[in-house]
Amino acid sequence: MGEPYLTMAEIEKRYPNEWVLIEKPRKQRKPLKVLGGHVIFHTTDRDDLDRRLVDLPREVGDIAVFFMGDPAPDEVWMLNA
Amino acid sequence: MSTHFDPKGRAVVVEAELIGPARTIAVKMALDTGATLTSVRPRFLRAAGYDPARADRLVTMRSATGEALVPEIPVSRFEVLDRTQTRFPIIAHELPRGVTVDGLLGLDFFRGLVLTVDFAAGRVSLRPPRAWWQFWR
Repeated sequence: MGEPYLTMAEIEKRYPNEWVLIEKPRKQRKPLKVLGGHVIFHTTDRDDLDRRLVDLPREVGDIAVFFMGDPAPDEVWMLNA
Repeated sequence: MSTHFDPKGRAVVVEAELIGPARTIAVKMALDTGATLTSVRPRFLRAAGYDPARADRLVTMRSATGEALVPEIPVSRFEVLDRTQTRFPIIAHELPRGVTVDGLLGLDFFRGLVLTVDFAAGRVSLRPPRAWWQFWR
């Protein structure tokens, strides 16, 4: 694994408003929280992320997938509508 | 134990862990008490090693936009808000583009427990109900 370990604060700073795929996430328990990991993929396009998830090599271990930012300010969610 | 959330966010968003035969995936999920079941985007279930196309059970999902038959997958282990469920049924359901969470935590995860959402403090917790002898502590 060539990518360096980054904390979530570093990942947020380095990949603002991007989807990140983090391999071997280091986690805190109770409450569950990802503290950092190795970013193996990042993109602004969710479709790119989805394609990557489908083609994820078998040797890739545990992952975390997060969006590093906020939705557009003029946007509201009605998720169960 | 409670979990922090952004009280000014679009939804109450918490981190969850989904364990599958291929790998464990940590995702962000929105609490949704308007959803009967918990759902995760199908590609995440596939990445964890489940195959929604081969689900043994399909359920009818009704929403304001219509109804659809969606696969229900028994996930071997699912953890969120300090609670772990095994063989937990999760439906494979796509969320609209622009939504930055990858699943909805539905009523089925909360049943029998006490869900506390504190918007003043930005804290959410899920715990078992107190037994009668705990009330006078």
